[in-house]
Amino acid sequence: MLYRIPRDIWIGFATMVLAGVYWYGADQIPISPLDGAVNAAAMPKALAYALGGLALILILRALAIEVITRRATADATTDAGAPVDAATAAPKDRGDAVSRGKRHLRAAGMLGFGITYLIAVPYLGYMLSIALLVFGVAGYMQARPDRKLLLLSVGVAVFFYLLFVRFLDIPLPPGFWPLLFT
Amino acid sequence: MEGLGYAWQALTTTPVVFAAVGGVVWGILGGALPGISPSITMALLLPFTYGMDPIPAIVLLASTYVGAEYGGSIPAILIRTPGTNAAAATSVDGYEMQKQGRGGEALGISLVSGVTGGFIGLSFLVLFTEPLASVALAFSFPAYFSLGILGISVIASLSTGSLVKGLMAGVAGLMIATVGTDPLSGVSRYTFHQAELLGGIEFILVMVGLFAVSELLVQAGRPEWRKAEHTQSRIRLPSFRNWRRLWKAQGIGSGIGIFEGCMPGAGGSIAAFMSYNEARRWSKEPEKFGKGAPEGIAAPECANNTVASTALVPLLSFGIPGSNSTAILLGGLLIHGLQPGPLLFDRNPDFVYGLFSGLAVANLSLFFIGMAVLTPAIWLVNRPKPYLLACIYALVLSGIYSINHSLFDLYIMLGAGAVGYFMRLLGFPFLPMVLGLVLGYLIEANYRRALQLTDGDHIIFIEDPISLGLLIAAAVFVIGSAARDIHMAKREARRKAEERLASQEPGQ
Repeated sequence: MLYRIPRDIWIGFATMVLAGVYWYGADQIPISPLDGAVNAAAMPKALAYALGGLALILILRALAIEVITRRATADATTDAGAPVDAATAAPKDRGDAVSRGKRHLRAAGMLGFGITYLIAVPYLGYMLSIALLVFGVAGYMQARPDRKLLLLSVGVAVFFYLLFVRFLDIPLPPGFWPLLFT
Repeated sequence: MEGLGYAWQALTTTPVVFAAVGGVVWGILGGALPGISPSITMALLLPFTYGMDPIPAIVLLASTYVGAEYGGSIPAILIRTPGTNAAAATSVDGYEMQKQGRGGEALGISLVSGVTGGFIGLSFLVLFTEPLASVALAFSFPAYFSLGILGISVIASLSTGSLVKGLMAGVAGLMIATVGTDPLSGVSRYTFHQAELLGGIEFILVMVGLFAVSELLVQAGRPEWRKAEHTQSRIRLPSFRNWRRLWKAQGIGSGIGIFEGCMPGAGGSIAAFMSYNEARRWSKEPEKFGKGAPEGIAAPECANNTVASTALVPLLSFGIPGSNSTAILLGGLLIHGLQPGPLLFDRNPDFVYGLFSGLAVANLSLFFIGMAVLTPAIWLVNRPKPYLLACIYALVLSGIYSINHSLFDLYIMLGAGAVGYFMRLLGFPFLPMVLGLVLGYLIEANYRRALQLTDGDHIIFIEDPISLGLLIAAAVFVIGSAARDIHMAKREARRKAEERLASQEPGQ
């Protein structure tokens, strides 16, 4: 028989680790002579304990659900005379997992566009970077990379440049462009 | 009379009218886009309010909320795809009317009911916010701490999903609030020697990341949305005779909207569905609901637009936002150094009455703009999704940079977006986290100040009667919600058992 560990149990353990790391960080907070009855580490430590406690409750809750589920499944299958085998659900689950995996990958790709933009913008400058971002993200979302998309990308870049730099006076990164004109 | 004077002053000396009209237009267009909720529409606008005066800035955000609640009904009626969660109830009868060739009439009913609900909600807001706020004048340090705890407990209890996850999200929000220089002792906490973190993590970065960026990440994996037909681009306002038929439904919608708006955590969606059900229950022809009944549009639309105003009651009175949209509004208030609560009425009456007058303009202009902006809204809904998402991504990155001119902020925002994506995936609600972050300072500062008075003895939180009452209320909410959570856990177990059994049936 194959048993999967419920997701909430994983979440609970991961959160406990997070609470431990946060508590360690709280323990490193220096004590200031300005501190009164309660120092700057008191609230963070209390929060770490609270998060750890809640994580434990989440784990117990998930375990309780699992126990009730197994009992109910076992009762029903005993009545029906069929053996309990969670592995039979695997093909359907596998299909779902592949589709979920694809969605997560696409989300990661979308995030990647933002990070790439942040890395590129100091060098390429705002206008070119934002035009490339619009072109890239739209293409990633399955828009055809044609002249229309190119025009849209340039149009958005020019509009945002006028709005932020000229109208709102925001000094957006100029990139290498000023070097070409000096 | 003094309030009227402030309202008139705001209308005549600040660009409140432009802000109200601009907010309604932006709100309708944002609300009309499926997947772009009112809170995201507001979050996209938040960076632009930094350089504005407080009154027009908050009017702009509040008017966006008003516009978005109506905007959500446009795709709900035309393509059965609610632009906002609250518009889901409208789609039931709205789309039926559209199929019968009465889409224009359905849009007209939605608009008129939205405006009616907006004015009823605004009246309640004007009449009852100040008296409620005066109650909070008696609050001391322990009471403010307990109020913050109550706020997070209520929101965590009423959020969708499990109570434990709601509370965990609230604690995580409080944890993020501890990053930066401790305002009481000057000690730095969790800054990892990064100068950019000394001032703490600004909640706007987390809000925009959680709401807008995570939505972009979710949309990246979703197919194209449906398109609206251009043939249904004319609104038909209901005749006076038909309007009279809707009064009962609108009354039900407004009543429920007032109640739900004042309840933290309830929001427009619950109000819309509750009012739909009640309107059907009290209707003389309940069998027509679900088959294109005008009352089935009037009640939910009136309810969610009433909520857009009454949701400001707990926010302005106690500083506790009850929904994602009012959390964004709270962010806007804090950006401009305005602390909502009883002192707001004493210190900034010009702001309060300026906001009220701006909301009145917004609700009035909704009627005219709602008719004029329908064609552009349908045009926008029909734009290819990749173009829209790319433009929103560019807007988010540019807008957030413009606040502090910092690329570091953008990394934090993208990080918050990734966290938001995982939170959606794992069933954690956003609002408790946002509330924890926003209320973090209030809770910690008052906790420590209270303990200074007693030299570290926690008894002060029980000795103070208001604090005790608020803590008991928080406990009641948590215990009540825990009971619901146990019931939910049992149901989840039964569902899982059924699924496992279904997957083992012969032949599979």
